Amino acid sequence: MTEALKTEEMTLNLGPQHPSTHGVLRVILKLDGEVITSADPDMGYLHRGIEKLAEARDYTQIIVLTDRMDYVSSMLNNFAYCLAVEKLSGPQAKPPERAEYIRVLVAELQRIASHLLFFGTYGIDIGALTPFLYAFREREMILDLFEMVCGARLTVSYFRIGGVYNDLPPGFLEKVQDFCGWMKGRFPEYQDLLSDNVIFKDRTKNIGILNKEKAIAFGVSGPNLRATGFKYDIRKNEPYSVYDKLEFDVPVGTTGDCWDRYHVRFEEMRQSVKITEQCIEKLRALPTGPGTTLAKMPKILKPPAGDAYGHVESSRGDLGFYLVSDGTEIPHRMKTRRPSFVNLGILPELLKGWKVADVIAILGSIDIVLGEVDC
Amino acid sequence: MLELADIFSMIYEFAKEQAALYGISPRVVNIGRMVVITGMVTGLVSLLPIFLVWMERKVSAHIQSRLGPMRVGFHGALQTIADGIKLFLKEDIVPREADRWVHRLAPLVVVVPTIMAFAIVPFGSRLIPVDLNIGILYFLSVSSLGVVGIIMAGWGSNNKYTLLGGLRSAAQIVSYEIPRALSILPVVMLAGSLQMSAIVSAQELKWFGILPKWFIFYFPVGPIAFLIFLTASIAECNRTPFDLPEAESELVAGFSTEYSGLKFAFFFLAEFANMFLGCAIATALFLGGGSGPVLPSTFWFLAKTLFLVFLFMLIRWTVPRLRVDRLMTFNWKVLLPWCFVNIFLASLVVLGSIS
Amino acid sequence: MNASQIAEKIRERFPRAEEIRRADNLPAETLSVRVAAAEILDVCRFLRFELKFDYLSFVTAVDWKGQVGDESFTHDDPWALAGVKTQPAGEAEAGPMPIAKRGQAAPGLYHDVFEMVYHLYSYETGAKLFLKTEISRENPQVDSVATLWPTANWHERETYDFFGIKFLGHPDLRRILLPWEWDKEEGKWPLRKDYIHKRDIYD
Repeated sequence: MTEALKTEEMTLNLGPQHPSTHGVLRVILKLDGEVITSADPDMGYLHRGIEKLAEARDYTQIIVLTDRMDYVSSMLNNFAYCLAVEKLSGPQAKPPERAEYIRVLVAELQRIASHLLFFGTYGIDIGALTPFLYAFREREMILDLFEMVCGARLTVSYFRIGGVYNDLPPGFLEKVQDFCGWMKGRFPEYQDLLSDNVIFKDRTKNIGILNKEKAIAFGVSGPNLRATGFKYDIRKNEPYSVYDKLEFDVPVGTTGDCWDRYHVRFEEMRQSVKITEQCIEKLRALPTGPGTTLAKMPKILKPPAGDAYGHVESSRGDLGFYLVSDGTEIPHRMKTRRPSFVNLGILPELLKGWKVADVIAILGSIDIVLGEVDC
Repeated sequence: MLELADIFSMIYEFAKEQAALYGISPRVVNIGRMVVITGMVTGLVSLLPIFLVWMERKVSAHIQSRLGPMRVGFHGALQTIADGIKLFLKEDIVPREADRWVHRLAPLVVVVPTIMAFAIVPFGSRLIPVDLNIGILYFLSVSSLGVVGIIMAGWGSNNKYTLLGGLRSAAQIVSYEIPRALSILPVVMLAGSLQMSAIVSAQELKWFGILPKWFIFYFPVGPIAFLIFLTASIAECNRTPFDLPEAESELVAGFSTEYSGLKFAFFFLAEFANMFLGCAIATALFLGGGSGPVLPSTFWFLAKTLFLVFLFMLIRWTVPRLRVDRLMTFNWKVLLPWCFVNIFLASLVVLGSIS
Repeated sequence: MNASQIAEKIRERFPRAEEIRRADNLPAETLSVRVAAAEILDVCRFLRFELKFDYLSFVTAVDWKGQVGDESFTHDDPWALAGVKTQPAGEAEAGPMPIAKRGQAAPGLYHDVFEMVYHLYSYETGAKLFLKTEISRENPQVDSVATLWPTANWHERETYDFFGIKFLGHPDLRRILLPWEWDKEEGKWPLRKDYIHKRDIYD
């Protein structure tokens, strides 16, 4: 018995089926007693070959595929893809103004939904089982809003090349306004429950510290990068769509530990509510009618030969699509630049030297979705 | 006012009379009485978790903004019975390389000390199954025996991770027994006796006719001792925020993983009975046991105990988990020093009241 | 520093680099520079340290082998819907996969090369760049840039996984998304245009 407890390197398999790996991810940990010496993520359990599938479908059909990558924030996936195709197609594909504001509205609602899911599941990882249900109560409201708009809750396929599928139904903006009011009242509650909780802070402060240089070197983006103190948000630094006309702050962290990563996402929810309210105002003022939600596009889109890269600030980071067109209606190559995939690359570095009990806290704070990691 | 104790003593007298009629010596009746009491206590401990599990599920549901079991019986009251029947009907699996007898006996070794510890719980006035003159000491010593069962469960499953989980659990329980015992010491000093009935009756009077003389109100000794005892009891029951050895079934399996069916039900039963036991003792020691106006003492005792149980559940579903090393640090560096301070303060109070 | 200045600086150091322009000879929306495969590591080092391109967004490859034949695909085979021709184990080699495309591709586009694409961004200067290079399809290999940008480690593994391109000097080149056992078999590079899928235990 003592042999097994001596400090020789033990391999621990954080298996694919696991309550806390947020999907099917296998991490092969090598331990020296309680301390982790190396971590090797093994992924691919959810690989569906989206890049290969895209080489047999035309540009509008691929929108359906993009929903299913990061299934927790599908509006944002659609957004990135449509931006890329619109860049590829040229100025004729520029969406009308109303469509742009609708896009931003649903994208920000999706960001709130995604961060609520992170909030709930991170609480479960740390052991607090109740905030999960509160977060999902709010998420239900957002999913109901999505159902009003496009009929689907999770894999929305709402965006089209050159705009959105249809205009907002009547009464939608009032409901979104109500939701924003309700959400603003929930933030102090969540702060009490989790952010200010002594035990939560004890388990996440100064754990899994990532510094700015390493984050940039490893291509980390999104809230993980902002938690290190580096203020970079694609919506502000490389504005796309109508983000340059909207006012919002970009929250940053200080030390790059788990608590900062959690806190940045929490504050981002607040900012998203702010953006949503501005969009509601603008949408009330803009005229509706035919041609305001979809640009005039040919029935079968054949972009000129060339390549384009469109990226957005997704809830997980820098999500981009690199499309190569050969002049036909089916793209020659679609490369997906997935933030969860790249952010997961920091895990081996981040886990070194920490104890086994911290693995779940650190892995949860990176906020990956396996659909995006595996594509 | 009709007390349960009066009813029981009436039944006992009646039984003695009947026995005298039939020529059976009163000693036999006494032995019969003890058998009946043991049966009642065991039955109570077995049936109590049915109610407690339902309570836990309902409390957690309402905290989480949902309803909980609603279909089986009125508001899910029969849900636990249904789950119990399901557990009884499950196949009993013993891992192949496991140490069979260790594996089989572990649930018993966990449950039996808990049942035994119920012998000195004062369910009301004059309603203690066995009024030992070392009552509280008996409670501390017997409830420590459950740890052996946990280690047996961890070892008997032939699983590296179960063993580690069981050892961690055992380490946590053993460590938290110390502040638990030391926090009882001031109460014993204030009451002047280890006997449970004496401790309860020492709390029966009132200050100024209004505030009952419960030990929790003896500032500053009482509240500190109460909080330490409660915290240590939560840790003893392996509940959140102290449940990393169990919930570390995220990484390392908890000790009861390889159990199925009836044996798993025993572990479950033991956890809830243990929780009720801790709250019952806390009620007896700090909240005056069965003291209360108008209604029978058993009712007050149950009300106070169930209130503490509700508090345990509230804490479980609100607060995240402590990491194992933080848990130990909290015990040795925070609870234990405060225990010593408390004993010192209590001795000052006692000396002050004597002189 | 705008796009043309960057192009100038690169051409100063590496005269063989050429800027890829659009069909109408206007500058592309994002600067695209093609270099020779042999110089790729030097160019990257130059870009990383002197032009301060500290963020490597992605590394990927594009297979420019065109489609051969234009039989339309049938819809009863799930693999065919993906545009992948399959061949049950044991049968003779089938031809390359067919994709039915309406319309003709732009002329002169298809040639037998892999094109490596690196997307670089500079947080300091805000400059963006596509770095491209062409390597042969017969024995594809290129220098790894994982020493310059640690993030390239996984991107290159993914490219190796899908295309079979060997990255020289990569610290840990093995498959990342597809099963590790596939390395023991020949030719399992799914994103190549002439990939023929042999049905295996995962089907």
